[in-house]
Amino acid sequence: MSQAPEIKVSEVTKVVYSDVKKLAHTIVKDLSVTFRSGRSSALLGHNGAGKTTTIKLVLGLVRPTRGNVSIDGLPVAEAQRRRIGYMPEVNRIPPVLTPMEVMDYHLATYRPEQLRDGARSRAAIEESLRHVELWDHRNKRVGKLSKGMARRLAWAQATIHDPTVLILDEPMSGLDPTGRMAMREWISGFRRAGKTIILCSHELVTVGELCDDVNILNKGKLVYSATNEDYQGAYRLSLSGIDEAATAAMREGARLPDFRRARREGFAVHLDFFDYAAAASWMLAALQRGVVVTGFAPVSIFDEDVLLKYFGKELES
Amino acid sequence: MGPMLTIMRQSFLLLRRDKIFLPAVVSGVMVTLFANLASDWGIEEFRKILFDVGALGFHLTGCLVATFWGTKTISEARTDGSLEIQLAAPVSRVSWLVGKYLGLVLGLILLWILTMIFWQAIMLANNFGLMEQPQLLFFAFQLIEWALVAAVAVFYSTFAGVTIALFATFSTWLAGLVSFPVSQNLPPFADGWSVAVVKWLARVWDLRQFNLSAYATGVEKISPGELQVRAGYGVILVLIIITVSCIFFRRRDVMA
Repeated sequence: MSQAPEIKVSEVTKVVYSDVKKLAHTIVKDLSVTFRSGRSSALLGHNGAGKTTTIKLVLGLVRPTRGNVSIDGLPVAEAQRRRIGYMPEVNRIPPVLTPMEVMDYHLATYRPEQLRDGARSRAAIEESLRHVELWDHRNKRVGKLSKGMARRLAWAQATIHDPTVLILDEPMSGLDPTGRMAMREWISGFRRAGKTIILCSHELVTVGELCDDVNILNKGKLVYSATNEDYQGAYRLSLSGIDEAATAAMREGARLPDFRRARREGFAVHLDFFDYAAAASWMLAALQRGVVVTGFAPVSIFDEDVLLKYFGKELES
Repeated sequence: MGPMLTIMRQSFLLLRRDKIFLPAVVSGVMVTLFANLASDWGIEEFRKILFDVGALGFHLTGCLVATFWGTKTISEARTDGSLEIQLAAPVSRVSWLVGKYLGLVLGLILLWILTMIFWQAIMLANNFGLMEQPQLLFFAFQLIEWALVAAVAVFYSTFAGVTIALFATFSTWLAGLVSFPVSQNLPPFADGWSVAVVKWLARVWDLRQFNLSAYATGVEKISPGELQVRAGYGVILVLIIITVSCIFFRRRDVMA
């Protein structure tokens, strides 16, 4: 298996013109973002933030007005696209085809050499359809499949050629809880295998579980970018109440070298530390003072106050 | 070449399962039946009426199906987003477009064969025996026209939505049917520019070239050389239109 590539979007601007009045509309502006090799990166943002356009730039479906997109330093071309598996947000599979035909077509376009060996290609299709539990429905028309089944087929289609890059746009949409669990497991499998993953989703819990890096877009610009390493070992201590003891504890904690920040939220106080040991020792001290500790947990890159800042009301709702 | 053939195969499969396909075959059959009945009622020579009426229906059915399929194959793929996933694959846009067009032509050939079988049955039922070379050529030229109309539909679909592409193709097809007669009947007061434009259009876009009904019924004689020129004209037009379509399509962004 070839090594998972790095994808670089460098100072890309994309301007589109409306069909009728030919008004210019900038979808993405001076965007620079790197999806690192073997990492799972989240691409977040409001609707219309430019996430889908960024994905299309990476897939070569949209050409940048300015700037460039490269995969391992090479421009996006046919050879590079062979390494990518893509699962769009909405099922784009013609409803009159059967899963068998869909997979056959896909394998033929991604791995034409495999077509020469009929038995091998059939075995690959069977394995892939069995993996997503669609083998028994292989001759049913896609239009007759349930939404969840169609999503599973989209996953099978995106991964049958064993891509080293996986681009997933809202992979959980339309799936029931069991389907979501399975999808999470499949994505985790790709992550463990060291593939490069780009994940677009509005489900922050899912993104938090599956991603190493986070990139937030707003109005076509990158407004936040962080990696798991930035928060490695960081812990959050949550205290109840705003009484004197908690306030004093907060002030005292703020003077410690490993302290990151403090935040009030209603009647609670959250203290973030860069280091587990510092957080734990400080917690013990706080407990001895009679402060009620309501939480002690690692801080993720999907720290909700950061996300709140960029997502605003959408996240609160 | 491999990916192009794969796309052609899938395009053909999609069209074969398209809702228009069966009505198109039925319509082709019904038109032939009607032509058969009309020939019985007519006072003119039976075979001439069969070909005049039947050919009109055959011509209309094929060209309309080519228009619908041509726009559907490309425009609909763009609007419903299936184009997005197909072009995310390692397939060049030229391969995709040409593959789609070839699949479309295969679909038209299948429709043509099915209608021809029925036509032959009608001829046998009326004791005309098997089709002769002029009649076969008549149908072969009709197929060239279908393929040409399909190419026009593909061309418009590379940059326009379904509705616009449909109407533009329909208008272009009609223009091709009337360009020559109009150029021959321009009023004497028409200004020089108009005359030049209409005459030029009649020279480059004259679909009348593919109507051999008079030749098929023995009313008109056309030399083999002339037939070759007409067939070549059709093939060259198809090549030009598909090449221009590819040039347009290569530059387009894929946005559903």
